Amino acid sequence: MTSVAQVLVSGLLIGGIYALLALGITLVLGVMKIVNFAQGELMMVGMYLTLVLNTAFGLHPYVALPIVALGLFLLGVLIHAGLIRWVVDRGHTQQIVMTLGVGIILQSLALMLFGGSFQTVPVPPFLGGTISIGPIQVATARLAAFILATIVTVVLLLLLNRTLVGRAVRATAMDTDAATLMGIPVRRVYLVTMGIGAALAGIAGVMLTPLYPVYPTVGVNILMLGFVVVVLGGLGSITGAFVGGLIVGVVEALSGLWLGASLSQIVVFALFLLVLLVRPQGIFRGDVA
Amino acid sequence: MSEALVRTVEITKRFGGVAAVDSLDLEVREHEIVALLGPNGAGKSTLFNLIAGSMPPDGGRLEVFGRNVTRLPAHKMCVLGVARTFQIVRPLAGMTVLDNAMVGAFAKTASVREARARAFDALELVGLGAVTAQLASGLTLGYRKRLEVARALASQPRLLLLDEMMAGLNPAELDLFVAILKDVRDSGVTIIVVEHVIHAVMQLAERIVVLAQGRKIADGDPREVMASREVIEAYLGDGYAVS
Amino acid sequence: MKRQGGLNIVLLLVSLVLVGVFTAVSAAAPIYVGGMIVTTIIYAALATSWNVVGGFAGQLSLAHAGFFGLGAFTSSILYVKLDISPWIGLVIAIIAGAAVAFLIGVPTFRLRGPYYALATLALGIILYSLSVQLNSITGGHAGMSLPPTPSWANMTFLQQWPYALIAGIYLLICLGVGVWIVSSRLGYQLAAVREDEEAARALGVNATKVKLIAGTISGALAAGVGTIYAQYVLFITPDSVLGTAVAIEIIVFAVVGGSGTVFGPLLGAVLLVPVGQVILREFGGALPGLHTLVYGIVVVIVVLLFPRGIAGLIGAAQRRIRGRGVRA
Repeated sequence: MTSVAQVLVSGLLIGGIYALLALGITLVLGVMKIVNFAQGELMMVGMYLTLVLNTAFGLHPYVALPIVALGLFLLGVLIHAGLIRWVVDRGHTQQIVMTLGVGIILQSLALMLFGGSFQTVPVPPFLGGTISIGPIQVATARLAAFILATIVTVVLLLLLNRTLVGRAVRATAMDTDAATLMGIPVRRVYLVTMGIGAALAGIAGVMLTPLYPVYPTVGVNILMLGFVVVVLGGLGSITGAFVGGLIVGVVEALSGLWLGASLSQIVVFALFLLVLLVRPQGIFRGDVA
Repeated sequence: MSEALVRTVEITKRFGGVAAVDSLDLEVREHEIVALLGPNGAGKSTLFNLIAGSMPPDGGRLEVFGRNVTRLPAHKMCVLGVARTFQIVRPLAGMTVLDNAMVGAFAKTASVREARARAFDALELVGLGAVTAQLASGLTLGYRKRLEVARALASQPRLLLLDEMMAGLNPAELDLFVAILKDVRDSGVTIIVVEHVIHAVMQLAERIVVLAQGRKIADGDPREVMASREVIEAYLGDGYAVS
Repeated sequence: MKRQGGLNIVLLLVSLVLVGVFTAVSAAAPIYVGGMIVTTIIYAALATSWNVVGGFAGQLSLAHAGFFGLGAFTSSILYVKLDISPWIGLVIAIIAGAAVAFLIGVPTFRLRGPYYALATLALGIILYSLSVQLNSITGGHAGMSLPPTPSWANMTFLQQWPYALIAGIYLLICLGVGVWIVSSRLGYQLAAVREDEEAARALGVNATKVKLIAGTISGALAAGVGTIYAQYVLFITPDSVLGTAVAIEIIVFAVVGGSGTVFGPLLGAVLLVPVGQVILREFGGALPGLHTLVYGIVVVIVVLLFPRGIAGLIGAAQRRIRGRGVRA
C-alpha cells in the first residue's frame, strides 16, 4: 500500500529528470530566446544512444553518460550551426516551425533505424533496485537521477555565476546587442548554449532509461512536461528549472495517486495553463541564473 | 475660441518608485500644433503614451474630445480619433504601402472600397502616391516615416500624435515633413509632437511645453519658452541636434 | 491585396473545376488513386482551416488536431450511440468546434508567439487525454468503429468518388471562407496583427477580437473535416485523430505551401500528401517513418530558404516581373 509520503518521495525524485530536461529548454530560451520544440527528441536520441552503447559495448547507462552527453553536445552544435542559427533573428513563427521540423526529422530517423517498438535497456537494477530509507522505499534509479540533477544544477549555476564564460553567457541572455558591443562572441555563445542544451537533454535521457522504455515518440509528452517546468520555474531561470522540476514531479505523483494516471496528465497540463495565464513569469526571475 | 481638445488633469505614471510623469496638467486646444520638449528622461514619451492610450495612468485623468478616456485602450483611442506614430517606425513589413494605409483607414470604416479611397488620399497627402504597390519592407527610412504618418492619417484622426518623427531625416526631408504637417493641421487635425530637432519645432509649433523630471517647467510661445532660464538650465549638459 | 482578390477568385474557380475533375478521376481510377485523392483533399481542407488562425492571424496553433478529433468524435458518437445522421453530425461538429475554439481562444490569445503555441499544444494533449479517459463514450485507446452501411443519408459509401466530392465541396467552402476573409476588413486587420500586433492596436485594430474571430472560424472548419474523415475511414482512435503528429503535419503542409495565402496550404497538401502516401506504400514496411522524414526535411529547407512557402516564391517572382521591389 503506497503511502502519501512514499508517493511524494518518488515524485520528488523523478522531478530530477524533469528538471534536467527543463534545464536544457530554459538555458536555450534564456540565452537565445528560442523555444526548442525538439528538446524531447534530443532526449529520445540520448536514450537510443544509451541503448546502442549498451547492446554494442555492454556499457551501463551511467557509465555511458559522459559519452552520450558529449555526443548530444556535438549534435546540438551541429543542429545549431546548420539550421537554427539562420532563424535566430527571424520571427518566432519560423523558429517554432524550424524546431518542429528538426523534431520530426529526429523522430523519423529513430523510427527508421530502430522501428517503433518499445525497447528497454537490459541492465540489472542499480544497487538492487530499491533501498529503504526508513519506511520509504526509494527506487535507486530515481535517486540517482535526482542526485545527478542536483549536481548538474549546481555545476551550471557555478559555471554561469563564477566563470568568465558563464558571465558571457548571462550577458548575452540579458542583452544581445550590448554583449556584442562588449566584444562577446555572441554567435559562439549561441553555439555552445545549444550544445549544452542538447547535452542536458541527453543526460535526462540516460537517467530515464532504467525507468522508462525507449521508443521514437517518447520525447513528445515528456517535452510538454519540460515546458510545464520551465514556465512554472521561470523562463530562463536555472534554479527555477530545478525547483519547478521537483514541484511538477510531486504534483504528477500525487494526482496520479488520487486521480489515476491519465487524469494526472490533465492536472499537470491544466496547472501549466493556469501558470501561463495567471503568473507567466513563473516562480523565479529569469536572466539565466 | 476653441475648447480644450485634450486635457490631462494631474495625470501621473510611476515606474517602480519613480514618477515618470508627476501630476501633470496639460491642455491642448483644437487646431493647435503643440510641441513637447524636454531632456532625456523628462517624461515626454511617457506622457505621449498616456495620451495615446498605450498605457493607463496611475493617477489623474485624461479627457479627449470632452470625454473621460482615462483607461481606454489604444485601439479604442484610435477609433475615437486619436492616432499616433512610433518613435522607431513600425511598418507592417510584409504588406504593401497601400495595405498599410488601409489598415489605418479600417479604424473608421468597414467598407473596403472606402478604406482604399481614404488610404490613397492619405498617401497622396504625404507624397507616397507613386509607390502604393510597393512592399513596406522595401522603403527607405524617410519613406517609412511618411508611411507611418499616412497610416495614422488614413484613420481620419482629430488628434495626431507624432513621436520624434524628425530624427534621422536630412534637411530636405525635414522641410518636406514640416510642410506636410502644416497641411495636415490646415485640414482640421490637432497635432502634438514630441521632438528633439529644435529647428523643425521652431518652424512648426505654435506652442511649446517643456517637461523636466515628469513636471511641466514651461508652456507658451515658442520663442519665449526657448529663451527662458529654466528651460536652458534643464537642457544644460544634454547634447541636442540643433540643426 | 486588390490584385490578389481577383487572382483569388480565379483560383477558386480553378479549384472548383479541379474538384470536379478529381471526383471523376477517383470514380474511374483504381482504388488507391482514389484513396490518395480523398486523403489529399481532406488534409488540404484541414491545412486550409488551420491557416485561418495560423497563417492569416499568425497564431501557430498546435491544437488543431484537437478540433479535427473533436469533430470526428462528436459526429461519430452521435451517429453510433444516438443514430443521428452524419450530415446533422457535421453541423453539430462544426458548432462544437467553434464553441471549443472560442473558449480556448479567450484565455490563450492574450499570450504571445511561442507561449500561445505551447498553450495550444497543452490543450491538444488535454483533449487527447480526455478522449482516452472518457472511454465509455469514445472507446478509449481502442477507438470507435462506425457502421459500414453505405447510403447518402449515412454519408457512407463503397466507392471513393462520393467522398472526393463531399470533401472537395468542403474544401471549396474552406477556400471560399479564406478568400472572403483575405479581401475583407477582417483580413487586413488580421494581417496587421500578424505583422506587428502593437502597431495594429495603434491603428485601431482590436487584436484580441479579430484573433478570436479567426480562431473560432478556424476551429469550426477543422472540426467539420474531422466528421468527413470519420465517415471515410469508419474507424477512429484518439491516436489517429488527436495525436500531435496530425497537428504538426498540417502545419508542415501549410508552411511549405505558403501560410499567409489562401491557396498555399492546398498547394502544400497537394505536393506532400501524395508523395508521403507513395513513400508509405513503397517503403513503409522496410523503412517506416521515411515519409515523415521527407516532410521534416522539406519543411526545414522551406523555412531556411523560402519561408513564405511556394506561394511566396510565386508571389515574389510576380513582383520581380512587375518591378515592385522584392520582399526582404
